[in-house]
Amino acid sequence: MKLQLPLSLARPLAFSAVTTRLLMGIFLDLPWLYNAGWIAALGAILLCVPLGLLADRAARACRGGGIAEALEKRGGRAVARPVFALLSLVCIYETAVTSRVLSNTVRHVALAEASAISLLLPLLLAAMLCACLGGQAIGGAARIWVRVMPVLMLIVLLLQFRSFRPAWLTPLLGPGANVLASGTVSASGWLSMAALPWLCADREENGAKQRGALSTLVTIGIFSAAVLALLAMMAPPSVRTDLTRTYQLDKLLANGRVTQTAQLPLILLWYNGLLFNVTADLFFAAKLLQLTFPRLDGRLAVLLGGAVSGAVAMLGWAEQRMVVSYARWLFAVVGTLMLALFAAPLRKGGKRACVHTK
Amino acid sequence: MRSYKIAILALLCVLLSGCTQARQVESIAFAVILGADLTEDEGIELTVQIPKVGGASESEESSSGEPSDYLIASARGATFTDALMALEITVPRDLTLTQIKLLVVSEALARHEKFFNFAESLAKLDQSCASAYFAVCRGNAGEFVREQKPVIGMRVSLGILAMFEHHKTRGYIVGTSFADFYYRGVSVFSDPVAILCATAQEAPEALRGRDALDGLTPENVPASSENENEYVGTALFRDGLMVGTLDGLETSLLNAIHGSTVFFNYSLDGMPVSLQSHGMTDLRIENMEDERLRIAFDLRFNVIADLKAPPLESIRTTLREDLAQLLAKCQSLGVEPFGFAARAASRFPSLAQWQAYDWPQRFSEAEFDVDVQITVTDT
Repeated sequence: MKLQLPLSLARPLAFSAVTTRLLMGIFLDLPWLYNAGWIAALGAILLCVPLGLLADRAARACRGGGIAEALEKRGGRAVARPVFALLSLVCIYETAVTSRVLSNTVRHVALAEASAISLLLPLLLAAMLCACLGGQAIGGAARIWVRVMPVLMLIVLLLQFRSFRPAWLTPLLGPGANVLASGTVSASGWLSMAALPWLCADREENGAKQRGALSTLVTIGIFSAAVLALLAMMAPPSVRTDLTRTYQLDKLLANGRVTQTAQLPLILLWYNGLLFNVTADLFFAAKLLQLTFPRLDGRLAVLLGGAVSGAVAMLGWAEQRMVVSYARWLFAVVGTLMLALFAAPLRKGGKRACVHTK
Repeated sequence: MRSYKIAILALLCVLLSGCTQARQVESIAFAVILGADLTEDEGIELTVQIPKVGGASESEESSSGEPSDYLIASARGATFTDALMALEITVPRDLTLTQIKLLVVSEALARHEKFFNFAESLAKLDQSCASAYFAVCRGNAGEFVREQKPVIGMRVSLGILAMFEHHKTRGYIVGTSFADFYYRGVSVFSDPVAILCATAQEAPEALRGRDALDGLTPENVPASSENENEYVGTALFRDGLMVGTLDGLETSLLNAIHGSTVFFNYSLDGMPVSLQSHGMTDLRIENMEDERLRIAFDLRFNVIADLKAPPLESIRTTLREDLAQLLAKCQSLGVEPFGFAARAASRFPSLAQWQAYDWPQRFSEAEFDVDVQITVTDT
């Protein structure tokens, strides 16, 4: 079985999955950015612009079929396959990180003591089943979700409207320029993952004109920055306390000012976003694994990706401290790998680079 | 292949079923009020009020001798966590704090150095109860919890929300939730405040100040009813400790500066005046030549002409005097509960530079220029 993702579904899938990852990363994992997290999200857009441009150019140059395969043909197997393998490992780790956060927050919100395995196993099984159904299914669900999400966001905004204080967005640079710059680099790593769907997608023959990777990266960054700015306006920066993930999650989901029933739209937004993130990351991990080993069956690739992700999550290798350290290098790693992949064929032959040989 | 998929789906139904660990309402004790006191040995005593699902029981009676719809439970410990653990032992169900509507701490605890740790423990609790109203009680918080009854209506949980909405509109309390209190407490902007309350069994004989709210505190409300718990005024905090209080009138003016629309009665040489606040405009915070801070703003009110045309100039003068007294009182206590800090901080590029500016000190030495604008509503 070959895992496929139509290019027309790359945009909704990237938006559904990466927006939550960016919000999760900046708000939960980098709480010391305080009220300036939204600036980090905007800064990440600037850093990711070259990546978006390259992804767009590669997708445009390819007239039909898989973009990654076409890039491999032109760039050479020796360059492409190690890149696919490394990107697959990144996606597996991202799956582990998100599923760990998802299981931890489920345990917190449900006020139930449950073992990590009982929380992670059903989640990963569900994600593996979805990934096995293919990119058409995941992308189609994402397309529906991006239409439901604004309605839920509107409800949340109306419920919290009286809590917003624009003055809490200042001092504008929050923790200072250096910390903010470091946070921006981490945020760029998470945002750069939005270019992956364009690498893993298959261009439809005579497909309609598609929105590109660059515009999607910019949309995700702006949307996330807007949400982070709204969150920053709901409470003054908590400078004098330990900012644990639990504390930040309570602030994110409840903000202390609404009743539990009013939290439902936020909880739906949060958990659906995380589920999309886990599923999409697992799908990309499997797809990239299949690109590395073309004879590997898609279902086996998904199973392998899910099993390794589960092991990483359960062994505690995806906890906050490690995630923060790894996030500093994520942009450099993803950026370099994608640059090597996208730039090689363009440098060699422009638009003809991606034409499939028959 | 189809049977294989059906088998997987059936397996997932079992694994993903959220009801496997469901807890029924009967197995949970939902606390609606939590009180906290400081014990003689500087520990924490917690008291909770829990509705009995199914109604009053003949065997358990309240202090008035009637069957009670609520279970009152108390427990002590060296810390909040220890006391909570003891409380979980004495309450014969899973104690849940997520439905709490009111958190009350005694003034003794609020003024004690243990208070900040207590607040931290409460804020970082797995079971978030941060949306509850937060009050400081004159006297014993446990007694206050016992006295909190649904004197009007059926349920204390909804009754508390209705009661606070009523008090907030009249301006003599601040509508502070625990989240508001805690977020302010751990921020570097304005200082946090809480609702002031007390159990007053008898009305005082002598009247106090020149009007209904002037000098009014919860223990000297000149009224008596079946309801003995009163909420009037504000508890002021600085650096995690309670440092002072505001009376009913001062709290109304504090609410007016915050921009809340409140209705309150004001007395001018014996003449009652109904005032409605319309918020603050034109806030300017600037450094003067002598490096002191100058804070200027306009406060807008609407006055309702009840019996005869109100003397606007006199009202304006008296209000300005009352505001000046309020600002001076807060300066002397070293607290800034007005929300000026967030505005002042906007001139600084980073939080570190803002903290180095030493706002509390600057505020305590600031000069004020307050103007009061009054419009009149007549029929």
